[in-house]
Formats: sequence, structure tokens, C-alpha cells
Amino acid sequence: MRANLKISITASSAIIISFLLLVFFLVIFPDPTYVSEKRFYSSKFDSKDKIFIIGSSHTGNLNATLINEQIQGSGNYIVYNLSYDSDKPSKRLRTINEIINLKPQIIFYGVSYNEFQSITYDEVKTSPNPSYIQNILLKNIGFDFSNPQFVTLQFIRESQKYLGVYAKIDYLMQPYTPFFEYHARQFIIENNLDIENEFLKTKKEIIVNPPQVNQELTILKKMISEFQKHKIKVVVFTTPYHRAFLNSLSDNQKETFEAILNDLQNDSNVTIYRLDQKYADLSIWYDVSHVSYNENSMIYSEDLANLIVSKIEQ
Amino acid sequence: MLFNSIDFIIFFIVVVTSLTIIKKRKFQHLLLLAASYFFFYYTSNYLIVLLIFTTLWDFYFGNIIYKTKSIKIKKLIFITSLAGNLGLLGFFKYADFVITQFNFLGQTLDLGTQIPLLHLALPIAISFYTFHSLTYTIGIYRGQMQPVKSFTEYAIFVAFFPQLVAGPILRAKEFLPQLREKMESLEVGSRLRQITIHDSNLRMGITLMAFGFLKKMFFADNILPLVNDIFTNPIGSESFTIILGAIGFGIQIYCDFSGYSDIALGAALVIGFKIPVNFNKPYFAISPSDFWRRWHISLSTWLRDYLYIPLGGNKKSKFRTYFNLIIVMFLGGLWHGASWNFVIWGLLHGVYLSCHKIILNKFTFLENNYFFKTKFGKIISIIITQYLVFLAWIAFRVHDTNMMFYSISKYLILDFQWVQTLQFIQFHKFPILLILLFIILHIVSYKRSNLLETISKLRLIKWFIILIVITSAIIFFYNGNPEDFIYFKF
Repeated sequence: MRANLKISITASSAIIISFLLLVFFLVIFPDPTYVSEKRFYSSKFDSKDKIFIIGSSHTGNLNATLINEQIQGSGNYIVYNLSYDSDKPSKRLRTINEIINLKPQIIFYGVSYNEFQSITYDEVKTSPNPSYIQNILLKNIGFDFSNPQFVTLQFIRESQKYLGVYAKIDYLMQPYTPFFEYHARQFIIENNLDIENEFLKTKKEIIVNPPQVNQELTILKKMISEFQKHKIKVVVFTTPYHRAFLNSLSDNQKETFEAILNDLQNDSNVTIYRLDQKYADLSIWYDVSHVSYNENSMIYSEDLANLIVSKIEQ
Repeated sequence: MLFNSIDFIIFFIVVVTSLTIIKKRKFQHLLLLAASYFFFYYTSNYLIVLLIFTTLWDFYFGNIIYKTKSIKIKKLIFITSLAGNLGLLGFFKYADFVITQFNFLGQTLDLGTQIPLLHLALPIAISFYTFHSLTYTIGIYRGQMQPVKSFTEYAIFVAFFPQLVAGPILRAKEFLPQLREKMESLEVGSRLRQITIHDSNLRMGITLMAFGFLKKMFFADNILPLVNDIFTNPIGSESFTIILGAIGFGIQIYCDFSGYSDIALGAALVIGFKIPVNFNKPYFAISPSDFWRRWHISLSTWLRDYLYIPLGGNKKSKFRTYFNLIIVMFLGGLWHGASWNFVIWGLLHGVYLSCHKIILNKFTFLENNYFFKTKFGKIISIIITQYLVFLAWIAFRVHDTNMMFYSISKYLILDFQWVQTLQFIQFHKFPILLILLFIILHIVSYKRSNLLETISKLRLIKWFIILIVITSAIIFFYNGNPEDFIYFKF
């Protein structure tokens, strides 16, 4: 009995010590995303009505400063671009309550093929996730334990940079865009031919599951319905692609994407604005799916600003 | 309930503590049963009805088979019991698959009829508990065991929580005697066993569980993004990328499944039960038959004893042996899921086993050839075997047939392109590092076969440090998204 107790205490202590080590580590090196989220969602906003742009890197390059300048005459509004790199509806769902709590007037949700590229149907999880107890125990402690691996790997990467193993990449932040980091390449407009060649060299087919089995679509619809329940207007728009990308799509892929958009439009009662082909042949890109953050490629941001104005006026 | 969740840790601590506090044997056994049902209900909800149905069905059929004297009637009752078990499994697991095939056939022959799909929920663990339960009625029918004395004992055997969801597949004759005090070869003992927790079992059990969690949460879950990135859509990938994906998946599924088995073994051992080992370093197998002596041992021995041998095994003609091997592996593949990729995976292994047998039969000198006994010869045998095993993993992982055949063709016929592969490696450094680390640790554990036992017998302070290292590795690299065990779906 005594021996059992000793063993049990030893094993429990090992778990507790590891956990405390993690807490200590997270205090010193907090997850930058978590910190920026916490800072943004708990900050005090002025009396202006808020408009949020949500999406992935495809909306990340929308210039929020320019959009704010352009909508100035339309009322007391302020636009925030809440894009994340590699965002998907399933990821965004994590902060839906925080978004609702800020009571935005309108949400502009940018979608593309990538947003709906989800795990295949037969890989859909069989058990609830994340665990209920895990949520209660960990989420309310005051630290973000949602992804310690991200912080650990970031720490390792930073140490390697510090030691000179890797070249340091500088990231820049832009106003009204709290979660999206820009690296130097994103400011350059690449030559269209180079973009096409690079794409053909590294191209991988995109698989988008049909609406009936598309998990990301289901989550997006759920989110939109939640926003609408809280009287937040939602406008969906498709993000632009380069011609090389559009040409690489098969008929089947295009049909599936259209079916998804139709399904979304009908089920969620939202109008979808199409920008996916609008700039395909312009010279405004840094790769096939990202418009550059450059003064000569502001057409994308200007168009979105016009769309916002039209929605405000409605 | 997921093993890799805080819910399970709390559940397990509560169960172990309760078993320690309760002294009355009968209550201990009832608690174990209630805990097992709760464990299953937590994830499966109303589908627990199927588990209870299977338990009742086989419990009563076991008794009837035992009491029946006439061999003919006995056989008839036995067949009815089998039909009930396999019918339930077939209906829930394969109905839609069969309907889809019928519809496809109807379409091809232009019959103009479409049977609507049933869209049944797949009951978690149905393949496992059906196979557990079958060993009981088969054991009684074959005269290898007697029926249990109480329903509770039988229900504990079918629903025993450590192995309920993903095995190892228990055999009634090995497990049921452990519920009784006195163990005899064919008969169960007279008194219910007191469930006590011994310090040596506790230490070994915790060590096994810790390594199981490490395999699952540190290795398998963190290698998964690399594998998914390759196999969600492999079309357009280079040969080396496909090979990397196959290696990644082979390691992922091994860590996932053997991790689950280790946790199951450890959890059972803590409360004083011994359940069979399921893995024995399968990636050091020197032939396809050796692989199946090391991989999912409880399933391969089940298939051997309850399918291969009844079909005639290797006691009939050579051709019949090859046929038996292929048919058994085909059914083994189908057991994993109602999908052609599992069938292809099973058939590939059936072909490997048959070809291996054909080669040994044709070239008898190979079996005792000196070269294959040397270290270099063994390495060559391992590489050839694993090349084939990892080829079959592609069929297991990639469900879409076009993608599967593309991947298999790239695996077999190298294109010697590496631009994409290098970029891929650059993007997935962490999973690649884990693959390398796994290979090193796998070699170490192969060389020191009793590594876990040695660790569990270390001085308490050293054991404590090892536990801290393991738990830290798990939680520091936890990606916030606990993945299901792959075998959960089977």
C-alpha cells in the first residue's frame, strides 16, 4: 500500500511538474497569436461602428488603412482586417464569441478554394473534440494551452535564428490588421511569367469536397447563422486568383466550388460577391493566390472599400 | 472516451482509487463493469445498446451450446450464434458498402434501379467486441472452455474498458480465468478474484501507459500533418514525396495503434489484468509472415486460429494453402473497414504471404541459407520486407482509387525528381525530425528488447525523471487538437 502510494505520488508529481514547466514557459514565451488576440479583443474601441474583414492570407493583403480612408465619407465606421495566415472556418470558430462580443455592424467574409479544402469525409472525427473537461480545466486558467507546440517550435526557431542557424525573416505589422504579419516578399509585384513558372513547378491539385460532405462549409454556415442571430450582417466575397491558377482548375473542381457557393447562398441567405476572376490577368500578384501589398496593386482593396460603402448605404 | 484526453486520466484515477477503496469482490467487479459501460457510453452514446445486445446474445448462446448434447443441434445453435454476431457487424459496417456495389453493378448493366443508402452510424469498436465475443462461443463449441458462472463476468470480458475500443482482441479462455481466484487450464476458479493493485504492476503499467501516450501524442499526432499533406491529394507529387508519405504513415499508424495497445496493456496491468501483447517491433520483420507475427498480433492469431486453420491452413494442397492465405488476408482487410482500399491492402498482404510461401517451397535451400542468417542478410531481408509493407500502407491510407494507383505507381517507378520533395521537407522539418527520432528509438528498443521493464525497475528518482521527460515531450509538443486513434473507426 505504502509502495503504491509512493509510485502514485511520483507519477502524479511528474505530470504536475511538466505542466508547471509548461506554464512557466508560456509565461516567458507566450503564443504571439494568443497575445495579439487577447490584446485586440480586450482593447477599448472608440465609438465608431466596427466592420470586420475575416479570412485567410487571401484577405490578409487587403489594405485596411486604405479602405478606412475610402469609406470615411460614409459614416462613423472603422474597418479592421482580422485575417490570419492559413485561416479556415474551423480555425476561426475558436474566436467566434470574441468577435460577436465586439458587436460589429457588418462582417465581410473572404472565401476561396482553400477555405473549403477540408479533410476527406471518411476522416471525419468520431469523437467530440476538444474535450469538455479539457475546456473547463484549461481554458479558464488564464493561459492559452490551445497549442503549446506552436509556442515550443516558435521558441526553437527563434533560438536557431539567434544562434545564426537560419536567416532572420523580419515581419511587419500594418494598422487595423492585428493578426496578420507581412514579410518582405508580400510587398513585391512579381512578373506574371515567373509566377506561372513557379506555380507549374510546385503545383498541387486542390481537392474540395462537395457541399454535402464539406466540413468547412458546414462550420462556415454555422458561424454565419450565429452572426445573424446576433444581428450582425454578413457579406461573403470570393478572393481573387491569378489566371495560371484558374486555368489549372478542372471542370469538376470549378463545379464543386460553384455548388458550395450556391449552397452557402441559399442556406445562409447571404449574397456572394465574386472577385475570384476579376484581376486574373492584371499585374498585381506575388503568387497565384495572393495580391501584393503594394501601392500599384490596390485595386483589390479599393473594390472591397466600394463594396463596403455600398453595404453601409443599404 | 479518448485515451489521449484529460477525461480519461480523471476517469482512470477515479476507477483505480475506487477499486482500491472497495474491498468487497463482488462490488469491485460490478464497479469494473459499470466503469467499462460508462467509458463506452461517453463516446458512443445510444450505440451501447449494440454492445449489450452482443453480450447477452453470446452469453445465452454459450450456455445453450454447452448444455446441448446432440452434435447436430449444437452445430445449428452455434451457426445461429455466429450469424447473429456477424449479421450485426455486417449490417452496421458493410450494408452501405454492399448497396453501393449493387448500385454500381446495376448502373453498369443498365438495370435502372437504385437502392437508397441506409447512412447508418458506424458503431465504434464493433469489429473488436464482436471478435472478443466470438472467441467465447467458439471456445465453448470446441470444448476448450466452460461457460462463465455469472453474466457480470462475461459482460466485463466483452466490455473491459482498457481494450474495448481498439483491442488487443481478447480471448475468453485467456481473460475470463483472470476474474477468478483459482486459475486452471480449462475450468474457471471457484471464487471471484480480489482486484488488488501491486506495486510492480503499478510501475510497469504506468511506464507502459506513459510510452503509449508518447507514441500516440508525440510521434503519431505530430507526424500526421506531413502524411495528410501528402496523401489528401497525392496527384502531382514526386516519387520521393510519396515514399516519404508512405514511411510517415507507416510510422504514424504504428505509433498510433501500438501506442493505444500500450496504454490498454498498462491500464489493464495497473488493475491486475494481463492482456496480450499486440506488437513486437514489426518494422524489423524479415519476411511477410514474420511481419504478421509482429503486427496486430491479436488479430493475426485470431484470423489464424478461427479462420485460416478451419479453412484447412497448410494441411491441404499447396494451392489451397496459397488460396487460404489470400482469402484470410482479404477478410482481414475487409475487417478494417467497408472500403476497397482496405480490401486491396489485405489482398496485397495475402499475395505477399503466398509468394513468400511459394518461394520457400520452390527454393527450399533459401530457408536455411547462411547469407540470410548473417547481419547483412537480415538487413537485406528487412529492407525488402518493409519496402513491400510500406507499399501496402499506401493502399491502406489513400481511399480514392485514382489517387491510390497514382501513389503506388510513383512508389514503384521512381521519377528521380526532388524539387517538390525538398520544398516539402523544408516545410515539414518537425515531422521529419520525429521520423528520424522514431527510427533511432526503434533501433534502440529492438536491440534492448526489455527496455520498458528495465525502466520500470529503475530507482524511483530515475523513473521519476524519465516520466518528467516523457510528459514534457507530450505536453510541450501538444498541438491542441487531440486526434482519434486510427483504429477507433474499426
